[in-house]
Amino acid sequence: MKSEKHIFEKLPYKYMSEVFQDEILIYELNQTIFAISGFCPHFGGPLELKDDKIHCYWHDWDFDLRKHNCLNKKVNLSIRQYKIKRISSNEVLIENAN
Amino acid sequence: MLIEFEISREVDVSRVVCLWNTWDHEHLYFVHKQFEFAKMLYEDSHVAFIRTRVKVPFLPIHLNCLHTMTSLKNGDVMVIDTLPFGVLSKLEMRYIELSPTKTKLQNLYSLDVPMFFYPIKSFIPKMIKKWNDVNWAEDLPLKIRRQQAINIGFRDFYGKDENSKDSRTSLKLPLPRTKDSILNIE
Repeated sequence: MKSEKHIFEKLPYKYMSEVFQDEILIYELNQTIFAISGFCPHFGGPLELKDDKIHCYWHDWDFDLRKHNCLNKKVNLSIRQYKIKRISSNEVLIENAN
Repeated sequence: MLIEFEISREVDVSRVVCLWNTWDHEHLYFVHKQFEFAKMLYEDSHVAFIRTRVKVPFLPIHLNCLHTMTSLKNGDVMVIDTLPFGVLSKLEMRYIELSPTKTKLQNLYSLDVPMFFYPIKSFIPKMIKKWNDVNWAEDLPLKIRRQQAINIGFRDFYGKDENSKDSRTSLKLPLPRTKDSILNIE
């Protein structure tokens, strides 16, 4: 199983992971930390946190902050998720979710 | 009266990335704010007919247009637009592969305009070039991002695919859309 430790400055935080060959978006919601792919599963646009959702401006796709499923299109798609564990206040351990 | 001119640029992405961006009609509405309306009238693996309403940049003018896009045999694109005031626009979009990650985009414009446009004949190419500058600036981050997506093995309507190491070398048209796409006619 792939894993990596990563130090971030402040959340939300986005970086390109050499280990996972993916852009990782880390954010916190009600003291729960999440790590997801930064690529929109539709056409690969950049995912950002906006108005209590995860948003892609390329085609106006919105995703749920907890479940990561698409909220506003007739499609059954979710953002790729990673397991994440906080090691210290600014360091996390990220692993493949499956 | 025929007005002909060329706009060429180079970009550090593959030819297929440029084509992907061109045939992703849906982003017109969300990314290019001058598109106020876009509906797909018909599309198949070679053509797309799109009705649009656009605001002309820098001027308080809104135009209803019909874009007809054709994929030529070599993959280049021909766009023929019918515009208000009897203007016909033919745009040949050539995508010249300079390297696997560098492409030259050559846009060859040929506008057939009525004679009453003669006083502003020299202004028209300048206006379209400015418009092209705006579109180019808005599209550039998308093209770079699409190249990144291809590099990590991205698959449309899926995301990063661990099993796909193939960098996309061709485009299958039409690109898939959701049933509630903004382009669909209800």
